[in-house]
Amino acid sequence: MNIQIDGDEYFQKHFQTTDEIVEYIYLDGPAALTANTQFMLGSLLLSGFLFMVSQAVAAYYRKTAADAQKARHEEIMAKLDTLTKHPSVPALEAVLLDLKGTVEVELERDEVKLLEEPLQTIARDLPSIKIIKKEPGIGARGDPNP
Amino acid sequence: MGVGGADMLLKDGAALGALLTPVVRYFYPLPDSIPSGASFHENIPLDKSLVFTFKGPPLDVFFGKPEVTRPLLQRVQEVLKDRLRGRWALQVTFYDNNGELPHPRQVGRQISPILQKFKATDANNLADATRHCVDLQFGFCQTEAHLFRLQNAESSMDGQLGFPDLVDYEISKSFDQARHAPLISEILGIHYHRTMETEGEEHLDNLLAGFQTAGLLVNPDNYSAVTLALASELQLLATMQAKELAPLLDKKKSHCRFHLLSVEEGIAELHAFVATRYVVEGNIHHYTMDPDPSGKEKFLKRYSPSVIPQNDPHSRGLKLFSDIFERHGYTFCHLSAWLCKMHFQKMRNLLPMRILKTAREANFPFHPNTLLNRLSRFEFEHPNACAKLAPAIAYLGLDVASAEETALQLLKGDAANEHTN
Repeated sequence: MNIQIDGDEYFQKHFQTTDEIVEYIYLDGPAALTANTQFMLGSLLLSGFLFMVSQAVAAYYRKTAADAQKARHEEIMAKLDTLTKHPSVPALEAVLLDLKGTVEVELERDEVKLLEEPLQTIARDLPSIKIIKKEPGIGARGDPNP
Repeated sequence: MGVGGADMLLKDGAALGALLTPVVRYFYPLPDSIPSGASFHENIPLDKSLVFTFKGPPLDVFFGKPEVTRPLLQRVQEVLKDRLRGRWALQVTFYDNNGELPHPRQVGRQISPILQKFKATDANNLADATRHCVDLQFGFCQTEAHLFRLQNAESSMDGQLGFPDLVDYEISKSFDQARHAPLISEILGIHYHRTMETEGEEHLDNLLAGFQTAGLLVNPDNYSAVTLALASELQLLATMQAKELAPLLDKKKSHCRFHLLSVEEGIAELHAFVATRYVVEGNIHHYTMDPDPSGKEKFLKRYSPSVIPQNDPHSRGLKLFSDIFERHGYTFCHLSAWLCKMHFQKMRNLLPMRILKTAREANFPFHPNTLLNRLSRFEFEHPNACAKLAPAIAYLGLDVASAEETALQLLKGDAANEHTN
């Protein structure tokens, strides 16, 4: 999964199995989510997806917000902070409204299959995130971590 | 289950209906941090939401006399309409006619109320949503009653005794309890020294493990003055750094849950499997919902052993538990879940996070997934599920080393690694 904002890459990791995604969410993801709640696999994957996008958005914002007014800056940082702890569709939607950049998520074919259900939700509720499904051979870049 | 059984249960359902009174709580607005979908109450911070409580008449009146209920619900809808501008949720709890929570013997085990969440636009259908959720909760209630009966038929368990207590007791029979205290003292000593030697993140990690181990000293008479002094110093240090420890504790819980995923989600899926089967077979009495004709198809599609996928912890757990279910029945599945979890659950208080993080099936003794894998091939015939516990413990080798012994071994190994590095 590659997440690009305004053409720059902010998240990059290739997940081949559900196990890899689940492991990533539990060991590196927001503890506030996984420590307590029992999740259906579908909502877990959706939260994980939202978490990765919000991490990328937060990184982008940290890098580009130098010229923003301080009060406004802190307000948005606080929002992003809660978002990465408790990723949710409405919260991400609110942050994306503030953000001027374009968010593109590039997915490998196996990832598209794994994230089928969350992607439907994203396409319906967060149309501003552009999902690019990689076709093998056509325009695919070489494997970045051989 | 035969037709006769279903008839009896329908009657049971109607009898339960006269006994239970629904209380509906509406929460609004919901914080964004609450994920969508249904969930159990305990884990959700609802203290920032406002609550509106509606106490209904007993269930048979609630559904049987719409001329009484409809105006009541319409009034609730009118009162709440302007307030439900954001996301909101409702939760149904059943009380008996004396206004108390029903006794587990009447409704199976105590069921946790489920929180159903809605969008602002659903406020117009509040009356229907409420009726639907009350009926749904009534269905859950009957499922639990079925399972309670099943459990009584399969085992000699008293309904008051929990699965974990039983498993813990059976395992503890294999060990000399007098060895317990010195082991904990030694582990505590290691944590104390490492806490003092390290700094930053690692210091906090050791401190948290020390604090959690100190919590295990139940009877002060069994421990030396030195151990007690170390324990109280660790507890004091932890209180002083409580703010830094809180996120670390969450992270640690998350890591532990990762290792328990197959077991915990597997047993949850099995519960759904058994419960859905009752619904598909028409053994659950509903007031408002018609049986879904495609239910059986969906059920087979979701739960047939041949189609359960094997590529995520949830479904792998379901597959293994359905093997155990076929062979040993429902009660033993719950006992198995605790057999798999018990050892690791104890580890999480005794070990720091850096050891738990690197734990994998291959390198961690008695990893829950390994135990579950082995247990799915366990064979023993006995009509009482509880009688299978002791042979299962011997089969898994859980009587060889206690959790404390394993933890100490791992800690020593970790310290040795540190030195060679």
